[in-house]
Amino acid sequence: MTEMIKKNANDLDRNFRYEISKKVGAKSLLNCIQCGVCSSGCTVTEYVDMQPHRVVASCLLGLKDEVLASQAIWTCSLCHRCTERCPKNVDYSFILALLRNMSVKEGKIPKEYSGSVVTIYNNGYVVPYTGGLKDNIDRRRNRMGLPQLIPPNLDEIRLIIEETGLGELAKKKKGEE
Amino acid sequence: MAKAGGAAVLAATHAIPLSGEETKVELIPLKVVNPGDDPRIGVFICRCGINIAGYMDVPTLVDYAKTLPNVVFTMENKYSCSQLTQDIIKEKIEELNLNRVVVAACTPRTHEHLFQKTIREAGLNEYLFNFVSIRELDSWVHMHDNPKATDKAKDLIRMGVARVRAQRAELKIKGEVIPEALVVGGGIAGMSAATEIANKGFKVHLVEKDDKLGGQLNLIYKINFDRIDSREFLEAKLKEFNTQKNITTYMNSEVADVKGSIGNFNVKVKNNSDGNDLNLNVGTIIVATGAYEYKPEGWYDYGENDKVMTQLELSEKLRNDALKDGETLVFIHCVGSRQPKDGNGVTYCSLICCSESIRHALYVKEKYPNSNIYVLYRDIRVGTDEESYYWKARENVNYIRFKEYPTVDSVNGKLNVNVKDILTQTHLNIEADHIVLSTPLIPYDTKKLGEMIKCARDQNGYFLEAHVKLRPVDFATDGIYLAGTCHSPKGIADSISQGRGAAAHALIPLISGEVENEPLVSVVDPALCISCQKCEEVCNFGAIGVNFDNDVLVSESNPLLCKGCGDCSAACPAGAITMSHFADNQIYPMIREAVQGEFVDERPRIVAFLCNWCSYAGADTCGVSRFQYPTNIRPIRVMCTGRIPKRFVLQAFLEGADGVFIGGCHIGDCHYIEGNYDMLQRYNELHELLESVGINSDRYHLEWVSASEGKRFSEVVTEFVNKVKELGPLPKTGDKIEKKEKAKEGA
Repeated sequence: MTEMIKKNANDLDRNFRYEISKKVGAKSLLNCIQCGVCSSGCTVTEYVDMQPHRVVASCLLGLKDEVLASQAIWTCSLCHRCTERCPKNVDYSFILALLRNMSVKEGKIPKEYSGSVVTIYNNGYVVPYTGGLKDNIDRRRNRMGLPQLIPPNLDEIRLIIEETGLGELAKKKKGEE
Repeated sequence: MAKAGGAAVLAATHAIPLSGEETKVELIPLKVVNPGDDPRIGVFICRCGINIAGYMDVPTLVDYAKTLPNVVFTMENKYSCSQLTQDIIKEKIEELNLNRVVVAACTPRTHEHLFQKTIREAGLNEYLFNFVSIRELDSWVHMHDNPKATDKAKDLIRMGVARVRAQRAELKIKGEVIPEALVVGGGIAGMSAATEIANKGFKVHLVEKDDKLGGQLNLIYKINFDRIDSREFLEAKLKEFNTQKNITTYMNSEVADVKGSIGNFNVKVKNNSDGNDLNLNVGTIIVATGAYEYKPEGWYDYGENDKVMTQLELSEKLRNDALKDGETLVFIHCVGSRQPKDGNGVTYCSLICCSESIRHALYVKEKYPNSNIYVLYRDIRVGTDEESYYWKARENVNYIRFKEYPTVDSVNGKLNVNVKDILTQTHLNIEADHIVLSTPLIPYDTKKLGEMIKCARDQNGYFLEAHVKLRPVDFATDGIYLAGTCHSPKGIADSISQGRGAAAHALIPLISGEVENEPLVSVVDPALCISCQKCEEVCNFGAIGVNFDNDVLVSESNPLLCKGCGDCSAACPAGAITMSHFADNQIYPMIREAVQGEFVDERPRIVAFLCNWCSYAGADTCGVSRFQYPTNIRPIRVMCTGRIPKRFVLQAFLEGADGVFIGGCHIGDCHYIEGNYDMLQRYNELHELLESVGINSDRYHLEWVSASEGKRFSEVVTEFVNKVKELGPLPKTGDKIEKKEKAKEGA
């Protein structure tokens, strides 16, 4: 059993459900009847702090902070099984993508995820190709007879990140650091 | 089924019934058969293809049947149920002047009627016929033992012949029907029923205890199915209702007494405002006494705080626009319903409160779009038509599911609701302006009425129908029907259709103008009756009892009310009551023949009394499924286990049976309501008696086997046969030796 959240009804974000549902493709959120089929078929149900049906219930009730800060929306493997099984055609996978976006915008994304974006922004690679790491990588590639790495076009990558909105996140994170 | 009945009555409103001439069937006059006449019995043995002939020696049976006393004709048929055989039977009745017929074939439960019809067409009374089951009770359950199965069939045929000898001609009982109906209760169900009966041209009396018609409709805000104002709906209904000249309405009145039976009920109606009594004579009665909303005293300050209300009180507020926009409403479900046995409220689910709450939530949202609604629920149970409303409500209303009931505190005039939401795992504190409680429906107190009309109610006070699926608007008592919420909680649409369904059934006797009953009824011999009232005690239909209006106090049986269980006949200490067609003098020869055959090569020999509706049907199911059991039992069919007096059991042991088996319906499932309880009582009493005469009471066994428990029937019979086998044959001196040993062990 997870720990109970204490909450006053006046602190609930009553518009949260509409904030999500008004977005194109997410109206199905309101159809949920809490049957729990999504959670019973979920492939990562043991690893999430909030099971799918609880995420949806929390969205409907207006527990915005809790949902956006949860691990659950990031742990999802997006296998779409919940969407397939839902009797009311709630597109949970899609709603989850929206929630991830919202979480990013609010700066609530866990460090593990945002960190890799910052790394890519800075280096163009998920694994930094600089300093001591660069020597290490080069040595190994040589040993295996792989061609030398061509440094990425950082400007291009940064442009993409900024244009898609991920830049906000990168900037925020940088600022925090 | 209730809805189909409702549709049928609407369809039948405009149909013209067939005239008496059109429906009449010409039959040749009955042959006179006096009880003193020499029986001339014809025995027809069916091969049923290979179903019977494949497992026993049918020609031997034919030869054997010829040797039985009074049998003048015997033959075997490939299929007795074929038209060819029917023609042969008719021919032989005429040719040989047969006055009794025995058919040994499948089972009376499916084919008795066919042969009865055949012999009636040949001018022989239907009740001079006996059916011997040698397929379901013999060939199909002893498939691997041809000689023993043949022996058993010989015994069964001999038993059948012995019984038919004592059978007498019986006439179906006819009674006239007064072409008027009474409807108790002027709610929507009662009004619908009355309207339909009146539409068909019969006079209807409607008794309403309040000063206005419509019942709960007066309190409801909007109709569930088309969302129009319920007052408008009621007005339209009343308009239609009031144009009916055939309906007489009695306001502020109650039914004070009901006497009589189907076709002729004598009803006393008491007017509560002026205290006057009124006597009515009606042919049928429809009970639609209804139910009311539970007032949850002791729940959440209900009654003390005017911000706490029930759903119907919210209805009133919605109608009067008494709410403000932007308020917070908390709906709490299951208040007073689905409670533990000793809890505050009722144990059952009231079925309609979820839908009611859902609709109210939607109405509030429609009228006051800025209001916040929290619905706290345990489970949501909505029917097919309401599901779409539920989905709609889910979109804009907060549904919070609880396991522990929420708590409510009143702080500075504000209501604080604390609830643990098990869906989001949140401990929520809601500041509410109004709390609305969903409470169950409670039936009006109908204990007195139930006793007057002899109809059963369940532990919650709802009336019980004759059969949940097959007879949903009938009572077990003929001529009385039920509709609306006095039967179970239901919505307006269901109440209307059930009211119409009840009307459809009540119209059947009214239109035909006459009721016909099987002559399986009890007959009292006034010369023997000691007016001890025992028969009245055991009768579940109020059909028999001492008539205190008579000069001579003797019991009287009403053949129109009697269902033919025979419980009274078994209970009568004076032997004054005879069960027609299942009389003692018909059963005793069967018991004797069951035990005293020339073929008693096989012990133990067990006499089994099986109730027609459950255990005999269970034995049939067992046969159809080919579950095998030992050949030792000789079944005797009775209508109910209540028919079996102690003397039958004792007689069986006296004749030399090694064991007696009794099979009846499960407790609570009795076709005659409580006949098996009476049997159970006799069974328990008899144990001691048997021990005192030196018979081990293990030789005597009672088992409840339902019609579907074929497998179980074979199991309990096998088990019992094995037990009696262990005990060995019953010695002439009884089981005294065993008893002594037992006593020694005890010492």
